[in-house]
Amino acid sequence: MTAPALTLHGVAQRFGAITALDVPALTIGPGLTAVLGRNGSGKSTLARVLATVWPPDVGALLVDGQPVTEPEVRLDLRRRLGYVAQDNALPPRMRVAEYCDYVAVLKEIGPPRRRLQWTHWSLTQVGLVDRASDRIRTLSGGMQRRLAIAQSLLGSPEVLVLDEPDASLDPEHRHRVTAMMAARGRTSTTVVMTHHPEEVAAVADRVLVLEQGRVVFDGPPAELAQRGGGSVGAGFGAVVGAFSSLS
Amino acid sequence: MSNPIEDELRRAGAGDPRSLAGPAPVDPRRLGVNRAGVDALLLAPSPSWLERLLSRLGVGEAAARLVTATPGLRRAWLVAVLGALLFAFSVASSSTDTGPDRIVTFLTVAPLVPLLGVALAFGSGVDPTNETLMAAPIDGFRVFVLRAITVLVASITILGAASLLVPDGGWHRVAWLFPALAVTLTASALSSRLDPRRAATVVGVGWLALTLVIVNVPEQPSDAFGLALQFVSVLVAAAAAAVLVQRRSHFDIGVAGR
Repeated sequence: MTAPALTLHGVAQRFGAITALDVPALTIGPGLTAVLGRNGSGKSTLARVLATVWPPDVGALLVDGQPVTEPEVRLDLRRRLGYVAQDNALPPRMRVAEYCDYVAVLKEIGPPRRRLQWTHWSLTQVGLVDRASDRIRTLSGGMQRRLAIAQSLLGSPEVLVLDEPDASLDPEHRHRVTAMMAARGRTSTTVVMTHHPEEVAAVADRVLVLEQGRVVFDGPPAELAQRGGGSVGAGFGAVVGAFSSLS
Repeated sequence: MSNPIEDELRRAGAGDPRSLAGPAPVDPRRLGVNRAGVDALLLAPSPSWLERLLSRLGVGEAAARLVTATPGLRRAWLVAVLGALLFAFSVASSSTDTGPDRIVTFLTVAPLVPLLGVALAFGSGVDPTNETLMAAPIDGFRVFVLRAITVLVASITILGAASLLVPDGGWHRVAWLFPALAVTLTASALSSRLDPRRAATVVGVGWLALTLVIVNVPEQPSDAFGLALQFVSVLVAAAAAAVLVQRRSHFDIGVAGR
């Protein structure tokens, strides 16, 4: 089975007078797509819509052309989905392996032995297997972020939506996570929201730049680097500049 | 005395038979897979007492894991149990109220305990894993019902025991049960449209307003919790349960957790 394509059709998400997301048409297919943008640009709203956490106020999310408002389509996407929320959203009293096992139950992975195998595999992927019996509250911020990534890998999903997975990570682990995302992008539809364009955009197949909920750039990383920031949007110049200076 | 097996091996040209006991040929890939399997089993979280209890009661392994590992549930359960205990002791130790007044206070507030517990068991503000849950394929309605039943059973059991502490109550001691089911199910049904805490607040305030009115109608305030209210509570609970089932898909589309 090939990784699915996610399409936003006339999607708008508003919070009072603020437009958090306004995307007339956008399709994200297999490969690694990096979504860049400053705080409040709509990255997390886009992540939540793609992960079916928030149904859009207007418009629809389609999976291979089928709307997720259909329960079967939504269920099928969720069975193939790994999601890292913006906040770590981890229960502090739970132990690392226990948390992964709990998420594996949510993902309908079974029986118990199978869940444990996935737990071991995903914790190994992020270098946390030796902390499996520790309580989450004893982990550092970077370790908690890696645990959030580990739970998204349970079941080796075909769709990964990662909202700032590289936040709080030291350079070494950020590099490891970037390499892992690049590898996942070869076999899955991987969407990464990030504040670190120099890391992810350098290995991404495609870059989206969001500004006030709208897509102001959509293309390969090299093209964004060529533009240098001026034509992409004045408010986003710093991020684009950082990327272009490192490319 | 020579060993016939060793003699036979020497005749066959195998040399010193002890040399055969060298390292066995090992497939590194297979060894790695087996090692990973063993390591994975060592990660198994030890089941809590509640998980073991639920398993003995016939609850499935995954459901028991879901209930006991639910982060928000521990707090909700604790609040429900502590709330019930504190409330019952405060009523029982009150020396200013007469018997009938005590029972009215008890019957007014008792239904709010499971309501509060259920409100704290589900939703974006109380469960840090709420977004992970919403993005997962598991039936959101099933999760909600599992959590609600767990909190409800715990708080009703404790309230039931606590009601024995209330003096001079007669059968009125348990007259909170159907109203408790009614308000909890009504709030649960509303949770398919509102944030669970907001739904619980609306229903809780509504219940308090209702009791303030009805206790002034009969001559004896505790009679307000008589058969008529019990019958209406059963009807409301049944209607709310029907609405809850009818709107079960709304627990899957992200609205409830928003």
